[in-house]
Formats: sequence, C-alpha cells, structure tokens
Amino acid sequence: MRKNTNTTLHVWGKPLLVALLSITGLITALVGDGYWDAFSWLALGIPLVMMAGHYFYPKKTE
Amino acid sequence: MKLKSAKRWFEWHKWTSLICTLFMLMLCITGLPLIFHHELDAVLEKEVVAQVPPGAHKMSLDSLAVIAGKQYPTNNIRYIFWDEDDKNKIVFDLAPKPDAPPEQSKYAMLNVYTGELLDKPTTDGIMDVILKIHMNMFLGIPGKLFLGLMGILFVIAIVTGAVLYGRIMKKYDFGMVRKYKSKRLQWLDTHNLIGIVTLTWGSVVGLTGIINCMSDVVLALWQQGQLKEMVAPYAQQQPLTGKLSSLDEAMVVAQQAAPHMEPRIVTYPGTMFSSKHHYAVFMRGNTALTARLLMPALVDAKTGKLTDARRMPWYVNTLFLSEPLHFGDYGGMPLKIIWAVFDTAMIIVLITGLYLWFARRKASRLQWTRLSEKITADEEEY
Repeated sequence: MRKNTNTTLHVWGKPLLVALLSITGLITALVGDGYWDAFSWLALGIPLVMMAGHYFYPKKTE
Repeated sequence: MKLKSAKRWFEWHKWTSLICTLFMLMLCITGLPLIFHHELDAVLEKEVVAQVPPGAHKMSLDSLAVIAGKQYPTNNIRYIFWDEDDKNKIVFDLAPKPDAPPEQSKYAMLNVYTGELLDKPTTDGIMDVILKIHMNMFLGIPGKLFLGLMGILFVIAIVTGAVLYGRIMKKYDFGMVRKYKSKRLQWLDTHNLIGIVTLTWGSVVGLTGIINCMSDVVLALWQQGQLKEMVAPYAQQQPLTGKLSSLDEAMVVAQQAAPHMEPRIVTYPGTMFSSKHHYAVFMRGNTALTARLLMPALVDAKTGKLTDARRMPWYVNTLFLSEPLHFGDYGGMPLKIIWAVFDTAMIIVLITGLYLWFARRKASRLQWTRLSEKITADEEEY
C-alpha cells in the first residue's frame, strides 16, 4: 500500500505542481493588473523553465 | 485486464489525436501571430494618432455621427465602438441595412475632439485573413462549429494522453528524455515531457476555444432570452420610422443606469445586438475583471427613455471571460510571450505525436513482414 502512494506521488507530484502553478497564473492575470500580472508571469514561467531545464540539462543518471 | 484498459486508452488517444492534429497544427500556427495582432497591426497598418488641440472639448456624439454618415452616403450607422486603448478615437460601422452580413460593413474612425476623419479601416489585411482562417477557415458558422468539434477531440486527446503518461512514467523520473537510445524514444520522451507541462494551458486554451466557437449560439440564446424579456412591451409595436432620438441623450440615460461603468459599444435598432426599437448601449466595468463583462442599457430610440438595463446572463459572461483566456491578451507583453512559448511547445507536441504514429506504424509493419517471412520459411521446410 505504501509503495502505491509513493508511486503516485512520484509520477504525479511535479505534474500536479505544474498544473496548479499554471491554473493560478492563468487566473491571477484575469483578476487584476500590476502585481497580479507579475505573479501570473512567474506562475506560468516556472513550468516553462522546468520543461526547458529537464530537456536541455538532463540528470546524469539518465 | 490492466493491459486491455491501457490499450483502450491508447486507442482513444491515437484516434482523437489523429483526427484533430492537422487542424490543431493550423490553429497553433495561425494563433502564433494572432497573439501579437495588436503589435503587428501597428506595424502593418499605418498608425493614426488622434491629436487633441489644447482646450478642446469632446464633440457631441450626434455631430460625430453626422460626419461618419457623410463618408458613406448609401450606408447607415449600425454600431459605434470606442477604441479600447485610445479614448480619443471612435469607430463607426456603417452598412446598407442594420442586419446586413458583416462583410458589407464600412468603417470610419474619427477623432472624438475634432471630428477629423482619421482612417477608413478595412477588414481585408493579412491579419484579418489569418484571423478568419483561425476562426472558421472562411467557412462561416459551419466552419466555426467544425473547429469546435476538433477542439472537443483535442481535449479528449489531452485527457487520454495524461492517463497514458501515468502508465508510462511509473518506473521513470519526471522530465526524463532519453536522447541517446533511439530516435523514437527521444521523441516519445519529448512528447511526454512537453505534453504534461502544457497540459493545463492546452486544456484551458482548448476549452475556451470551444466556448468561443459557440459565440453564435450564445448570441441566439441571448436574443431569444434576456433581450426578448427586456423588450417584451414592444413585441406588438410597428417598427420604428423617421428620425431616431439623440445619441447623446441615450448616452446620458445609459450612464445614469450604470453610473460606475463606461460605454464600450452602441448598437442601433434592428441590428443583431438590439431590438427593433432600441439603441443598446453596452457599458463595461472599470476593473480588470469587470471590464471584460458588458451590461446593455436599452434606450427607446424614439422617446429617448430607458427601457431596461440588466447584467448579462451567465452564458454570455462565460463567453466574455473565455475570450481573454483564449487570446492571452490580458497580462501585458510578458504574458503574450508566455502564450507564444506554450503555443510553440504545443506545436512540438503535435509534431512529435504525429511522428510517433508514423514510427509505430512502420515498426509494426516491419514486425509483420518479419513474422510473415518466418511463417513462409517454416512452411517451405515441410
């Protein structure tokens, strides 16, 4: 059982983080301007940076 | 059993993707310049500036309307738009008949302070062509609804793709890209990595795109629903004849009905966005969120009195809010760039997906050839 939860977290942990960041970013820019916009750039930018990081700088073990 | 259900998810992912991929590629590619349409318009078309002489006052809307009417004597005004970025500009839409198709519209852009004709905008530039392709492929409402259907397939492909991601990634780490094993594995890993990162953005832009495809349905619902209710007392009246009441008075009346809002669009009697007897003054809010929502004030175009002003129903507001979420034009230039990066990433997901399908087909064909060769060889031995 314990192994199962670990697998789920292992597979879905980062995708879930990316999804939460994206959805927050998409909504905050809609709600307000100024700081809200800046927050949205950050929240949507992090997943893109993660993506590029994993693609161009893969971990050594791979 | 597990294998069987995995196979089923795979088949769904394969077929929904295959059907919509080419259209999605078209949408992503045409969508890319459309993200920056505002900036590109400024480059492609001559930028006109509305000079405001010192001490000048705004001209009355009625006198501006007279000037606009003189530009196209055979047409009549049917819509008036305030420029969203430059409050000194106003655009009149003139057509032979209030309910004529949009292609018959002529436009006149005036300086609000001087009444000077700034431009006669047309809708045949390169950006308009790209927009038309993106919206309906020049196939009108059927084309639009068809693209909406492709959007639904796209969203199903995203969901099934996510399920497959979960199955595939059980033994691997997030972000793994096997670059030195085989081309197919590299493309598969790229497809998975970019696919899972763009999942939320893709779903939101996909779903809001589907909603935008429903705009004509939403308009019809509003016409038959709220608009009809608001003008119910006029149902039996004869259509308006003779001179219409003053626009400026209508604006005053609308402003009183919606004190903390500003006018965005005026639609004339007999158009798609009003009744046969009213000016509809669409007022918008003044915060980031409420500026996206409109509130129509219906003003009797004979007496100049307010008939009704109501907030729009949820399905219209859903459409209004889904527009920025689809266009990405609601958070300044950085958000547009983020939109463009996601859009490009989506193009890569589509192309790698298509490649994987080709590669798989080739692989299974080779496998089959080998198998059948073996069988023939075995048979020959007997």
